Amino acid sequence: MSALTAALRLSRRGVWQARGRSALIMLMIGLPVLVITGLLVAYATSTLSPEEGIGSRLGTADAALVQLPPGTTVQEGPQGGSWSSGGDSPRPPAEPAEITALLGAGTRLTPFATGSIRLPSGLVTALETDLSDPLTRGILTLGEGRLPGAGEVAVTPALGLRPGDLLRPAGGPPLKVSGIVDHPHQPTIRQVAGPDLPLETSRGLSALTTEGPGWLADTPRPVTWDDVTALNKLGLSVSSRSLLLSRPYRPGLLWNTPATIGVAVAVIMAILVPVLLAGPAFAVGLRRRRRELAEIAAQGGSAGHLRLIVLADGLVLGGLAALTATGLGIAGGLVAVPVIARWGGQIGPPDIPWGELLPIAAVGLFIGVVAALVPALQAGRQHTATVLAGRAPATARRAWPLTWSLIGAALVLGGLAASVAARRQSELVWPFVASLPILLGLVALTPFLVWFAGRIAPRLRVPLRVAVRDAVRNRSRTVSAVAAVLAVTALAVAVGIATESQRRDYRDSFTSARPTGSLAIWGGTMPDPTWAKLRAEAARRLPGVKLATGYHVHDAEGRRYAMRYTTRWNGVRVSRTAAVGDQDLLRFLQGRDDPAAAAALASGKAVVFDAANVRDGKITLRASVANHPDRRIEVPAVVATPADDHQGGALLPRAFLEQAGFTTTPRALYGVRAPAFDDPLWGALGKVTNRVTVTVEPGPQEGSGPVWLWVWLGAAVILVVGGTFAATRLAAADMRPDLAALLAIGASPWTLRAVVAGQTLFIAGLGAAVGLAAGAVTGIALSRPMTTHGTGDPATIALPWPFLITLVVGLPLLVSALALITRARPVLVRRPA
Amino acid sequence: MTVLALAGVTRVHGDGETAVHALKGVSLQVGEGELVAVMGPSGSGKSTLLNLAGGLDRPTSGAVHVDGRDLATVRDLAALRRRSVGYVFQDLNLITSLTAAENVMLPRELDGVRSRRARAEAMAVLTEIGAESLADRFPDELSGGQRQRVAIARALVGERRLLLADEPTGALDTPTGDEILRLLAARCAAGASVLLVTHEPRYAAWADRVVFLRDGVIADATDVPMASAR
Repeated sequence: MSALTAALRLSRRGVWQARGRSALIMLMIGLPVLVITGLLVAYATSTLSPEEGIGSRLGTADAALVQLPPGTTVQEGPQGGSWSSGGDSPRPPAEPAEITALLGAGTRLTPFATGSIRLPSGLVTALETDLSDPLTRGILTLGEGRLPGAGEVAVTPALGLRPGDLLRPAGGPPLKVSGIVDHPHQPTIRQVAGPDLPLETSRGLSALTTEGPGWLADTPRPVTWDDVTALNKLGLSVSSRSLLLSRPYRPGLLWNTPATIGVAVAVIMAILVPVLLAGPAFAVGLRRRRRELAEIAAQGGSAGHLRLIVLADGLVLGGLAALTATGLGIAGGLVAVPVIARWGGQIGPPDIPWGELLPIAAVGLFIGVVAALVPALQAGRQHTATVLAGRAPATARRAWPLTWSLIGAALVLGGLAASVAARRQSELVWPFVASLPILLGLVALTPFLVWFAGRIAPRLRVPLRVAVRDAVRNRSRTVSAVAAVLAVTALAVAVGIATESQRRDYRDSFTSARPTGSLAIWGGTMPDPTWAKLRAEAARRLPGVKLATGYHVHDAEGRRYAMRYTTRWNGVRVSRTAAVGDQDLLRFLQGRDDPAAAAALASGKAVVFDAANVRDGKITLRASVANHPDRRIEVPAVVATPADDHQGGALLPRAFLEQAGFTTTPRALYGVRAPAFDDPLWGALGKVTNRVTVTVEPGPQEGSGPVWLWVWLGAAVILVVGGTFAATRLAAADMRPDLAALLAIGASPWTLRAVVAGQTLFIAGLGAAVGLAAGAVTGIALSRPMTTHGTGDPATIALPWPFLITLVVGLPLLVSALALITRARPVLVRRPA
Repeated sequence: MTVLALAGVTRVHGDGETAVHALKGVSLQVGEGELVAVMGPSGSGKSTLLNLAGGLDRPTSGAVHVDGRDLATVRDLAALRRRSVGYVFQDLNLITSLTAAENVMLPRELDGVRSRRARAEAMAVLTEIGAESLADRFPDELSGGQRQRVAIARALVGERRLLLADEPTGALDTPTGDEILRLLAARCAAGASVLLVTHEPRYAAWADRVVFLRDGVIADATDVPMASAR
């Protein structure tokens, strides 16, 4: 115990004496702890528990009720809810008296409707309620001005309005801003609230429970599941305070939320890479302390004591790093949440998940001890008399350890086989699992690789030759640094290839039946005069835009048919509805005049953009109608080229359908101009009839892939530069006698710098080259589960070339250049006699 | 009573054509309270002799006895050094990150003695050699002579009676060197045994006996002090 006290005292003092080195080690150990701690704290703080979030949802009410559209039935229960729309007997909206009767005498209801209003600047979420009602207290808090009365509105700060300003929503009279209100958890929300708003509710299935007219209810007793069932029967969706609070709350852990990829990367990164990175720095420490350790051995320190002293370094540095990183991570997470919330996130009360943070801090401590393990074993083996005499330690008989190399080779082969097998699995975790033996095997093989790569030394110029020879001779420090660069590069390459493949696959999988940036106006079932008015209004609102017409297909009984077929797009099954129209629609779909296609359409043939669906000059369609079996129809067809690469679809000639006994009615318009978000067209067409859908084809959307790639590259730069520099500094310190000798025989200072830079290039270059190979295997193995969606979908493999070149070529050159401009100070060294 | 005995000790570094015979059958005894100086030119085997005497190195053949125990049979040589043998070197003697007192405490703490008691023992030795005022200073705040005094205190702390000193005055000026030798002689008078490697006749003159090494063998020995040289 007292030996440990002495060892810890030595470490503490040593850490303070070598502050630069200690800071570097602490950075490498602490960085993952800091990042993970920060993420966990930020996540816990920005996540709201039911208690934290209920005030902003229900105010002080006991329940919020949302009236669902007619014909929609809902069943909510402890296990979740189910909805169905299109019921046969739509019931009228619930009356307050019915609700009060259900919830018991003494129930008070206040109208509370949610939705959005359309402003010139875009859609804004809106609450239509009386904010002065005590039931709404806590939903929004007044910051400035006063609460809105009739014809007035309160706005959140994000809208940038002042009390007294006028708000001009589409479809309603102007509203005067009476005050500024704050959302308790979402500082950036763009929201308005007032007693009288022209609400639009998006009645998609996903918005069923959250938007619509409704009430806040103050009930004499808690609302139970029985009440919910009864209210559901009135067409109301219910959020009950007592039921929300009694639901078991399990805060989502960061580990569970992203895919397994995050966890696997975190585990590997958090332990293996810092251990390897901190390894050279501990080796620097050991080399510098060899004499000191020999002194201690001379005074009676056993091999165990020497190991303990070096391990105490790991304990002290790991402990300090874990402590500092945890503190900074908590502070960083808490500071980051309001910043993130400013970009649209949400913020709750500060929350520090100690249960998760303490094990992570322990991992930091563990990393320190593990990183000091190899130097500690070396310290225990050092020959005291040799060190005291200043003689060079005896070198190993073989330049590389045979057993470890064989184990490494076996692990790499096993990992390769496992990667091939993992590529066939649909789970992401297996390629990662398979990458571990490859990585560990390569780390074990690194001494051999260093020796093998060192065989090029005789063919190099003097500075590089000296650098490479020295790196190979001083294996212990070189190997650890090369292994660290290798591991970082392999991880970055694997994630880079997987991310790029996924991004490419996402982009390639996008398909549409219309050109990018085009406008489609689809009418529902409506009388011809309404259609004529709709068409006239569209033409008036879109001056100069040539509108192509699309047609509905009906049979003799007036049933409306959809002409469908299924195609495969990038391996995924896509169901398409063929458009029906004439030459103007063909020109719209192709974006140009195509005489061959036009002639085919005129002769009654379908023009098809999904080439695989045309067999023997025909396309097979399913004519579908509600409540009747599909009919198969074969249409003579030609294949043509659409306007955009991502475009598919088919155009059927009206003539063919009419010959087949159908009638066609114009009910769709297409144009090549996308109206602006606040264009009056949206509201104007809705005023003609609510049976109209207006949509703009956005084209393929870019995923977030490149951003993540550059984040990875940034992390790799920090880690590779840090790891390589630690090793290079050690090399420079070790090589002082050699450098002094070079200087004495007339080498220029630049030659000395070139020697040091050469070491850096050797370490970073070798690590990056081997890391590229290892990472490519994992990346390609990962690309399959990440880019296949069901059987028959081929995997997409995409290589992010700029990223890979920067990583594998640019980074080693960068660190070498940095080493070249760093001073390699030649000093006169004392030579032991 | 003999504290240190070397009998027919040889030490060969390396093997085959590269073999270097550092010591060739050296026999030497150091009695209780005796100060023995070893002299000889560079490469004569002086440091090897000292390394073998304290168990830092093992002989190729021959036997080394400390306090009557054959070192070949001692499994834990580190423990032997903690309890029976103390080393003092020419320079870089002290751990720079520890205070003088902590340096002296170190062998005792490594031996499992509690820090409080180890400190008391260290202070006792420092007081004995008149260096108690240096206790809380770091090595880089001490002069060369003060550092060697602290190193001697560390070599003597506990029950250790054999002190092996390798050129302890090598980095010191003459008056300071004299002072260190006076201290070593005083410790011998108090019962410690000292084996001193030096190539300065001035300091060897303090010894009870001087052994001359040349090419790994004892070339000569004086059984009487070199009074004339003092």
